[in-house]
Amino acid sequence: MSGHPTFEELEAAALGEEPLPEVVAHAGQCAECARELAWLRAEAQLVRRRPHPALRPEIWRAVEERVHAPVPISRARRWRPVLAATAAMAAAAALAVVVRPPVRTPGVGQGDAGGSEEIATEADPKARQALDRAAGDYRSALGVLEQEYQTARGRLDSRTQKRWDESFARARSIVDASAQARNDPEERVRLLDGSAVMVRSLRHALEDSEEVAR
Amino acid sequence: MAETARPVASLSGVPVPPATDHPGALLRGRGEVLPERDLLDRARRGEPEAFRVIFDRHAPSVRRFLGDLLRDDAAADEATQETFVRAHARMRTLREDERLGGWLLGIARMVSMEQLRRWRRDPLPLPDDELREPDRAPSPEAALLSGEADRLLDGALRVLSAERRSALLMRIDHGLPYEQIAEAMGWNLQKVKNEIHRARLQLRERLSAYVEGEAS
Repeated sequence: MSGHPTFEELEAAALGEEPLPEVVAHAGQCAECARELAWLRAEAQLVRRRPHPALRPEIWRAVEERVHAPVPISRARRWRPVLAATAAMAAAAALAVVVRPPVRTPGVGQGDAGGSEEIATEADPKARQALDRAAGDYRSALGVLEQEYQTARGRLDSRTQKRWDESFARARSIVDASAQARNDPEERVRLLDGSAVMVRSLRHALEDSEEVAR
Repeated sequence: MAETARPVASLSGVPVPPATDHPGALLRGRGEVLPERDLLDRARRGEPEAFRVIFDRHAPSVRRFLGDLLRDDAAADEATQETFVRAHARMRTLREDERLGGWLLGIARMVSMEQLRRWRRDPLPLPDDELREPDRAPSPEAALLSGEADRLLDGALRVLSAERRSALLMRIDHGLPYEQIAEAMGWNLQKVKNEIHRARLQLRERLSAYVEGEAS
């Protein structure tokens, strides 16, 4: 070995991770590296020789109980509107196809080369009803999720609370905007798509949040 | 180690049957050591005995790690339980190239951080001058064997921040390579190296007299 070994090489040797023979050989001749290696070895020995805590058998029992526990019925019932809204997502996606393609009607600039065209969208009454239903579903789903969040809000730190509050405020504003865009089906579908994404993300975030699920 | 008064809410207190009575024995019998990849595949497919083997293999180091971070036996037991419940739920998210040990310690670290945050928010009603280190006293045998060294090390580890202590112990105590520590901590590689280096400097400052005495 021409120069000194790297710190990582000395450390690997100290921690028993396949030490390179040349590292050990070098440390045998170099006081500086020998000292470093001795330090690292002593440090590792000291840390590793501490007593190992006993693993209480109740821990596994509790894990087993929790991982095999069915979802409580009450929670499943409470979340039914959220699941319904998930179905509404598919409906909204299908409607996006029904509503499109837009009907192009001559606009102000008719006759001009490259003139503008006013884009109108066919407002099928059935599609409108379905969109109303989807918007209603998202609103109820959001209500359920928010209720769930409120029960756990007190357990979260202020920064996490702020993040959740902002997410819910944003989701509400999108759902509200979709309700107000009744005369613009294209825009409404876009906002409903946004609502779908928000509801889905919030649902997954709540499901994954152990602090909320407690 | 002594128990603290902090309750472990959902532990049933029912003893676990001997190893041969539970399904994990199917995989652990005959001295068979199932490769980690096969074990993970089985656990991902929902085989309960595979998850039990994972628990048996990794719970001791997860529990030790959590004991070092939380420094409270009952809380470390509860956090170990929580770590494995989360791991079970997220088993499918574990990438093929990710090592199980590092992944579990990463989850354990998150669980411990949440617990530490809760303690900061709702501290236990302890007298002002009392440190929350009620259960770190070594057993009498351990005290006889290494009392002074353990005491020094314990004090040295205690002054490290929880994050820095996590990284250092992942490396020295649990033997994780730097790349896995980076993944578990959510840091870049350079930060892992810097933090561990700083942790070592702090440790050495406190241990120098003892270690140099032993090394000489």
